[in-house]
Amino acid sequence: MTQQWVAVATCSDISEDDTYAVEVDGRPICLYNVAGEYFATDNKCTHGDADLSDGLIQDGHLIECPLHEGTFDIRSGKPMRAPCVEAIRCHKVRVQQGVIYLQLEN
Amino acid sequence: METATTQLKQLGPRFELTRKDLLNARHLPGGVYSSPEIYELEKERIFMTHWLSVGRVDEIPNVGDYMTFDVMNEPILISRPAEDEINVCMNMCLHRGVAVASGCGHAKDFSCPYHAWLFDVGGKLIAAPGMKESEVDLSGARLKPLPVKIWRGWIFTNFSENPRPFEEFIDTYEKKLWWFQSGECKTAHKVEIDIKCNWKFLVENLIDIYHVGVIHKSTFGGFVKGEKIKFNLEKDGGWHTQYEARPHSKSGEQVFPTLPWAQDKSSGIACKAGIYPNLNLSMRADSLRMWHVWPTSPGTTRIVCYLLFPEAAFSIPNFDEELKKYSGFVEQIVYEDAAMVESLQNASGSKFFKPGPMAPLEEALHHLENHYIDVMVGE
Repeated sequence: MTQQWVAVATCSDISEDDTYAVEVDGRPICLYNVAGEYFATDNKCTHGDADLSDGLIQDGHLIECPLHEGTFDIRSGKPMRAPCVEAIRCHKVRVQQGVIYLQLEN
Repeated sequence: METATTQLKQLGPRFELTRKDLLNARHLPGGVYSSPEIYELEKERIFMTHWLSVGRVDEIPNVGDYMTFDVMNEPILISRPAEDEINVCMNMCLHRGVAVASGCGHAKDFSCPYHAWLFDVGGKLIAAPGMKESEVDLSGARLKPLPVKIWRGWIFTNFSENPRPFEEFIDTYEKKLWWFQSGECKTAHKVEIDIKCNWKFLVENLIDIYHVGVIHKSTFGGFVKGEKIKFNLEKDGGWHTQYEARPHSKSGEQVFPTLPWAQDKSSGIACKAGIYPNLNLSMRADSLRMWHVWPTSPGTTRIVCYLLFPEAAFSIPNFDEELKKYSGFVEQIVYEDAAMVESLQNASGSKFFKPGPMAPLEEALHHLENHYIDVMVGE
């Protein structure tokens, strides 16, 4: 079943190269503004008990987990640096009139 | 308070009484059981130099399984990083020394709860968050490893920088303990009990046949003929013996199947051995036990007794119920002893306490107490 598009934030909520935590259907999500382009992943790191929204965006498209400094590619969810080995779930994002919509991936 | 060496020197004349031959000897003076300074010296001279059994391989059967343990306040982490590998290392973060793991369980790695330094299951440092700008080279860093030797399912380690070769240490027991085939057994249960006495009183108590007919009369004592027991005394405080007793059950009836290696022996076979400093090994026709005596302070000790059976025992009808009865029986024996050794502990600190003469049945205690003097003050 295709998930609905849900309005989750406005563009002004997220500064450039920053993160923003939201919850969609009770699921913690991290939104990213990477040079004006918006992305979304699950917020809980696949390794340790930490929120990626507390981490820093590095080298353009990497999010560094604040706990152990492992990284994921924000665009694909691919683990890029240890101890992260399991990909992080990405969610589709679209922007309409300054509002960010998200479609949950299961 | 005098240092431990001064105290031991002052006890010199008392040690001479323990040094006499069995029929003229007296037990060790109370001071060695009650002095905190001597306790600290025992840690250095005994527990930090001897090979110690710290658990069994079947307690951590799967890759990623681990358990933690303290030997006289030295925290260790025992883990299985690979199928055929057991690792023992200090459970102390390389940053501030906090224990990176607690309790036991299964982990993919260990994250120090203080600053999240991350270690793999084998103790290697994987990540040190917030340290990118540090100029200290942390590549290849790992939790301090301790040597590991596996003997008949037991994990032995040693805190010494230059431990005596394990093979030399275990040689006598490897050759003579045909009856302790613990490598063919699985752990059914671990009995753990804290007792308020010095560790040596419990090690001695586990050898002491003299008391069995008295305080264990209602459990198993009535069936042990103490006067017929002959001890084989080995070097380094070790000993082993074989005698006739009955299985460890309330009724005295055998409950579990006969051990494969005891099939052609008397049904009343009983074997016992001691490995210095803190192990006591025991067999009845249907079961094995190994007692670990762990000092936790000068006046407190933890007893950890592993109850072991070969695979076949686990499938008898009502196994769980029978195991519960058996382990209750073992606990009852410990509680019978506890009242005695706690009273002994009280006496050991009294100025009125004068150690009494040894009984002929206390031959193995004589051997052990003399080995203690050898280790602590030299031969």
